[in-house]
Amino acid sequence: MPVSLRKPSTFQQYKTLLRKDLEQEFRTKEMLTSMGIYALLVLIVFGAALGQTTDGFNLLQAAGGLLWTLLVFTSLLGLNRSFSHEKEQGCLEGVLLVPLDRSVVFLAKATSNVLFLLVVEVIALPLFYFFFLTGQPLGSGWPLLFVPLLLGTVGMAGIGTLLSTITVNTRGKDVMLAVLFVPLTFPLLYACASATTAVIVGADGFMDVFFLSSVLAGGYDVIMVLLSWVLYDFVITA
Amino acid sequence: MAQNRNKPIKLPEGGQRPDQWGPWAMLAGAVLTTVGFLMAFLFVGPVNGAAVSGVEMIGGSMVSSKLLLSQKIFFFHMPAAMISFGALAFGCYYCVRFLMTKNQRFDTCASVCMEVALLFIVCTMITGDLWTRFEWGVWWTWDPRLTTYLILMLIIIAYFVLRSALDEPERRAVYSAVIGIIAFVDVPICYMVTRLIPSSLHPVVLREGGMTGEMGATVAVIMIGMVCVGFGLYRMRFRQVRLAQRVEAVKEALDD
Amino acid sequence: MNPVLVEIYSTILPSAPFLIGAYALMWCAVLVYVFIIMRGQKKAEAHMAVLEEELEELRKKGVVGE
Repeated sequence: MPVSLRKPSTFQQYKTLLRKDLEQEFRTKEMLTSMGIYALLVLIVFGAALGQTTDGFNLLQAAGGLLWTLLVFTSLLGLNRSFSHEKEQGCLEGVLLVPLDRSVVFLAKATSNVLFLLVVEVIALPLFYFFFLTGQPLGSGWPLLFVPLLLGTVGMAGIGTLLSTITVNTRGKDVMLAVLFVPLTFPLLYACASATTAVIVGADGFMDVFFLSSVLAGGYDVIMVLLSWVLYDFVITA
Repeated sequence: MAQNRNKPIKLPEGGQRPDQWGPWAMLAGAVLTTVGFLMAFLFVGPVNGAAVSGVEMIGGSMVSSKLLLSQKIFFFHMPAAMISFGALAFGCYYCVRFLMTKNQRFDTCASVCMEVALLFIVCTMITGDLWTRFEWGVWWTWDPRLTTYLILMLIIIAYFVLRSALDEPERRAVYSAVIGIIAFVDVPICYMVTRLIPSSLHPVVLREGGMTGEMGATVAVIMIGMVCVGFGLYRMRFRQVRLAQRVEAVKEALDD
Repeated sequence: MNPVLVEIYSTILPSAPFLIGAYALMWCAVLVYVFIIMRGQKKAEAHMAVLEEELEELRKKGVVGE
């Protein structure tokens, strides 16, 4: 009986790698739990930080920035975790033994990071609203919030995957990731915070600012994800 | 040299021809920047600021407005800023060359370029910040150019922190080359983003005036001088790092 | 002094410390870098001298042939 062996397509490889990450996560729920709790703790810190503000303080204007602060720190934690357990259990070496295109590894890892971040955002956003924004008049266009959130998540996960692959091999990797991640994602944060604030506040002509910021964030995403994708080959084989 | 007769040890080469130019470039740079410095104060007339009520005869010309001495910072500020970015561009070029060839020499080139870039960025930040402090009355504002340079400085510092956190030379070289390329791409984006998005808190202050011929000539002289200084520093540092690497290689060969 | 002159010079003198500070600090930054290079060079040369001595000793003992 002839044995037929078919080389799996790139998309299948991608799906397998992605499923591996997701299954591992749903079995342990380690990353989501730690990220969720961390997000809650950052919110509590915000509560203490904003406790002394008076009624005149316009929380609405600061809300977009605070939200992005929360997301950056939470995603830093998540990105750190996403490669350290691959490293600890020698999983990465196993994956690299398979003759597959290295960029597939990048795409699968970046996708799983995007998914984890989105899950955390789904948990953190209502909490943020609950703690800080319930009494505030939100702008009419607030559902547009998901645009900068998605753009920011994709960008952070894209470049963050590359950076966490680099930093997992360094001494003091947790700090190292933050040192590289924050300055490199600064333009994205700036654009996303601007777009988010624009829709939350909903001042006159907010659509212009929102549109411009979203386009810039999208441009950053495209450039940086492509660049990370190209450079990932060098990083992972080093 | 300690040559094992059977297999010659490979030493990092150094002491090529451009190394001899290094000190001369430094000397030329020192002379040119000094000339430029004197030109900035003695040759170029002071730039006029706000008008005052009345006219005075100063130094053979009628003056009816306040004179801005702080503007003299500009003559060194702009060339330093341009050279820092140029050095970063060269660093990025060497990073790409390294990734293409995996030749350790290019890694050294890239890291020395980044050092020179950091030096000139620090110079730019110092001059720019003192100007900001006097003209705008604040030590810091999130102006697009200030923000971009702060981020650029942080990225380059991160580049060196990353280098110091890695022990294996090959891995260090690859990782820092990747970061060098990303940094070079990130900086223009950062400038665009901070400039295009209007900041609600601080108005974007952009004062772009034309340069007179005298100012242009002075900036050109300082620019050439600074390019010489940058090149001289780069070559001297490169020779020194290379020598240190040779010493290490010889030591290892002797230990065997 | 003439009040017009006082007004004209009023922006010049307060900015002088900042101007001098800017140039001096920039000069210092370059000097520090040159100093670092020099120190590295001296150190590497000293290492080289030690290595050469060591090589000479080895050669006397006849471990390393010419």
